[in-house]
Amino acid sequence: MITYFPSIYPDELLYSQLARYYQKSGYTSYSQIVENLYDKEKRIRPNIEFVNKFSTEALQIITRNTTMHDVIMNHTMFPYYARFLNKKQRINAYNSLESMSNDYYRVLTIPKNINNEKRYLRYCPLCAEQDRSKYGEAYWHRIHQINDTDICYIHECYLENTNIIISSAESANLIVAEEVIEQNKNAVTCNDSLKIQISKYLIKMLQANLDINIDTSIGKFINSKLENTKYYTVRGGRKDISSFYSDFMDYYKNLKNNRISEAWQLSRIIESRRINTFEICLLAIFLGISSDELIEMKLPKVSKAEAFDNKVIKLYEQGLTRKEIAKQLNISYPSVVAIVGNRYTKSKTEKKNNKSLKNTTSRKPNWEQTDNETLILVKQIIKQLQEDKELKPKKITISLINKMLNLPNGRLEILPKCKREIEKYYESYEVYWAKVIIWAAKNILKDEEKILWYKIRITTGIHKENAIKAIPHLSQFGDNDIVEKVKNALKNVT
Amino acid sequence: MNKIEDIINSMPKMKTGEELKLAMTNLPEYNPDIINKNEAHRLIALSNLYDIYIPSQMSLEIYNKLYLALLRSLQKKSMRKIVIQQQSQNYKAINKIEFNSVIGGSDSFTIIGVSGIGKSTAINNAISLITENHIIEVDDPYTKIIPCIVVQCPFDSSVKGFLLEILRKVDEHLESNYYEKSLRTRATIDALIGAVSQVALNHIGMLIVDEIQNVVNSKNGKSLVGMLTQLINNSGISICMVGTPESTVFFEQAMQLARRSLGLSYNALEYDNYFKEMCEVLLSYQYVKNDINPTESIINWLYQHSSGIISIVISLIHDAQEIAILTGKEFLNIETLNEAYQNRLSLLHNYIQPTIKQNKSKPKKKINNIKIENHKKFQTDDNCNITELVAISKNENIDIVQLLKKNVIVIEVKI
Repeated sequence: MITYFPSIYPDELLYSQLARYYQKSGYTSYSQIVENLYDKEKRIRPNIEFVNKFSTEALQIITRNTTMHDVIMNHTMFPYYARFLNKKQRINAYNSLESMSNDYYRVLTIPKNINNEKRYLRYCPLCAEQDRSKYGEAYWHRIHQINDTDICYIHECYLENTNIIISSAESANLIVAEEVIEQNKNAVTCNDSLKIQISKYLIKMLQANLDINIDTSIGKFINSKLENTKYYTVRGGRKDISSFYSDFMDYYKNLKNNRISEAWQLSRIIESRRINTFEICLLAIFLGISSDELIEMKLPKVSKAEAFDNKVIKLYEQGLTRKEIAKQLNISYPSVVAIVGNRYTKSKTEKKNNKSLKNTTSRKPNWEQTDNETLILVKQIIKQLQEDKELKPKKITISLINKMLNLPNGRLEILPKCKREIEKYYESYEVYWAKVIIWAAKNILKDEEKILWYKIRITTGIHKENAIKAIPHLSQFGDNDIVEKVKNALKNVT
Repeated sequence: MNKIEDIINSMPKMKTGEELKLAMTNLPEYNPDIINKNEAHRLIALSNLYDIYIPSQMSLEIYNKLYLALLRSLQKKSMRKIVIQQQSQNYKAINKIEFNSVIGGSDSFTIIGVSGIGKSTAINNAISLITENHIIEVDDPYTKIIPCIVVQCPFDSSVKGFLLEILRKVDEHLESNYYEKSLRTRATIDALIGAVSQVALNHIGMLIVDEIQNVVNSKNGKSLVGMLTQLINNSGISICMVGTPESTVFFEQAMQLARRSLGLSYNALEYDNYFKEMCEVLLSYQYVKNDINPTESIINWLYQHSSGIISIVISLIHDAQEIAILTGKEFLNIETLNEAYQNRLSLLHNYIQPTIKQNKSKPKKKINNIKIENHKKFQTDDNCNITELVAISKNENIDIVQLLKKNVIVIEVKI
C-alpha cells in the first residue's frame, strides 16, 4: 500500500514525481517501488516523457487531487508532439495515453535521434537553484526536455545535460533530480536572440492548452498564412516553393539543428504530410505567425483563391472583358479564362445562375481561332506539368489537358493544333511508370531512407508486374546508382 | 486539501486541571446488586478492578510531557522545506552515501519508575487522550501519520531487531509493507537506519520505547541507544524511553546519554491523601457478600504490604476478594488480605519495602572487640536481662533489635 506520495510541482514531469516518491518512501531498492507502482511488473522501465501502465492503487494516488487529463496535458510531453496531428491521430494518441497503453508511440511524431545521438535528461542551473530555494529540492521540468532547443527561455541560458539517458534500452530506475543536479552550478548565458525566440515559441507549444478535438489541418493553416505572402501568386493558387525555401534557409542559416534541407520538405509541411512540431514552428516564426495564432489555428472564412475568384467573377459580371480583368488584376489571361471560362464554355457564374454568356452570337464558331487560343493554354499547362518536380508526374494525354482546362469533353479532339501539341509528349505506359518510379525513388533517398519496394508501391500506386515492365526504361530518368537500387528493391520481392 | 503545514491544527486541544483529571479517570460501572449474584458472576465482575484508573500527579505530568513532545514533533514535520531536505539526506543514508542531519533532534526524554507504579497505564491513557486513537491524514503531501507508536526494547538490545519492530508497528497501523520488504531485501543496519528514519519522518509523531532497562544488561545496549540518537537526528521525531530505575545507571555513564535521558522519575506512592482516596475507591468495588469497611487500619495495612505500588494494591484487593468468594468467607478484612499477601504475593515479599521501615534481618558481622566487662546480668529498669530477651525473640520470632529497643536504649550504627 502506498502511504506516502509527494505532490506534483508546476511543469514537473510525472516521471520526476514518481522518482521523488521513491526517494522519500523509505524503501531500500527500486524493485520494492515497482510492486507498488506497476502491479508487480518488475521489468517495467519508467517512461520519462509519458506514462506507464500503473497499478490501480498508484493511479488513484497520482490522480488523487487531479485528473488523468491534467496529468497528460501538464506533466507529460504529449501536447508538444500531438499538437499538429490530425484530429483522428491526436485522439487516438490521447486515448492510448489515458488507457496507459503503449500505442501512442505509433501515432505521435517523435523524431528519431539524429545520427543515433543519445538524449539526456536536462536541467537549467538557475531553475534548479530557484526550485531549491522555493521547494527545498530540484525536480525535472518538462520545458527542459524539448529536444529541439537547448535554451532555458526563462533565464536565457543553456541547458545542462545530466548523465541520465532517455531511452527504453537503459536499465530500469527512477532517478531524482535532487541527487543528480549539481549545487551552485554556473549557468552559461545565451546571446543568440533567434535561439531564445525559438525556445519561447516551442515551450508555448508544450504548455498551451490543447484541444484534442481541434480539426484544422496544420497544412491548411500554414497555407492560409502563406497565401498572403510574396510566395504565392496573386490569386493564391500557386506557390513559389523555390523562393520560399531559399528565403527560409537564409533566415535560419545560423541555426545548426534546422533539419530542413530540401524544398520538398517544406512542401510536405504545407500539405500536412510532414508533421514535426519544431519544423512547423520554424516555418511559423519565419512567416511571422505568432504562437497564439499557431495554437488557435483559425482559418479565414474564405481562402485567398476563393476570394480572388469571386473578385474576378464580380468584375466579369460588371461587364469587363477577360483581357481587361487580366490587366486590372495583373494576372495572366489564361488565369481569367480558368475562372470565368472562354467564350465557348460556361463560366462558374453562368453555371450557377444558368444565364447565357454575354456577347454570344448565332454565328458559327471560329474553330481555327479557338484552336490558336487554346494552343497557348495547352502549352502553358504542359510546361507547368513538366516543370513541377515535387508532385507525382502525370501522363500527358488529351483527356488530362482537356480536364485541366475545364473544356467540354472531346473538345481537344477537334482542335488539331492542340492535339498535335499534346501528341508530341506521348509516352508509353512503361515509360511513364519508369518516370514515376524514379521520381518516387529520388524522394525516398531525400528522406535518407532505404529504397524498398513497398515504399515505391505506396507512393506511386504501381503494381509490381507493371514495375517490372518499366525496368528497361528506368535509366532514362535516373542515374545508374538509383536504377540499381530500384532493381534491387524489385529483386527482393520477385 | 489539508496541507502538512496545518498539521498542528489536527491535534486535539490540550487539557489541563480538572478537565484532564476527569478525562483520564476511568471508573468501570458497578452495580451493588452484584453481591447477590452467584460466585461465577462475581468472580468475572471482580476483574473490573484492573480497569479502574484514577489519575495521579504522575499521570498529569506524563500527559503534559507526551503532548508537548508530540506537538514539537509535528511542528518539525510541518516545516516542509526542512523535511524535504532531510528526506534527501535519509535517501543518501539508505544508499550508503555521505549524509548530514538537517532537521535536528527533537524531544528525547525518559520516564523512569519502579515496576508497577502505573507508568505504562498512564502513558497509554495519555496517548489515547492525545491522539483520540486516530491516524492523521494529510493531502499535501499525501501521507498518514501515526501520532504515537509504542515498541518494546528487545531483550538482547538488537539494533536490527528494534528497527524491524518499528517497521512492523507502522505496518500494523497503516497496512503498509515496510517490514516485509525490508526483510526480503536483507538490508544492512546502516541502510535500515536510513529507511526507518525516512519512515519515521513520514509516518511517526512520537516513538515510545518501553522496557528500556533491557539495554543495561546487554552488550548491544550502547549501540541501541546510539542508534536511537541517530534516529532522532535523522527523523526529527520525539522519543520517550520508559523503564525502571536500573536504567538510570546506564544513562549516567556518558554526557551524551545523560542529555538524551532527562525526564520524569517516579517512586512508589507516599502514604498520602491520593493513596487513601484510591484505596477507598478500590474498596468500594465490593464483590463479597459482606460489607467492606474501608478503615484507616486496612488502608494502612495495604500501604505497608504494597510499598505504595498501585499494581500490588489492586492485586491484593482483587485476590483477597477472590479468596473470600472461593473459600466462602465473603469477608474482605485484614485476614483475607493477609491470606492473599502470603499465598499470592509471596514472590514479592523480598521487594516490598514500606516507608515505615521493617528492617530485614541482615546478617550481622561478628564484633569481636566488644567485650562484656562482667558477665553478671545486665540490669534494666524493668529488671529484664538480655539472655531472656534473646530467648523470647527466638521463641516468639520477634526481631531482637526491636525487643531490645523497648527495654534499653539502642543506637544503630551503619557499617
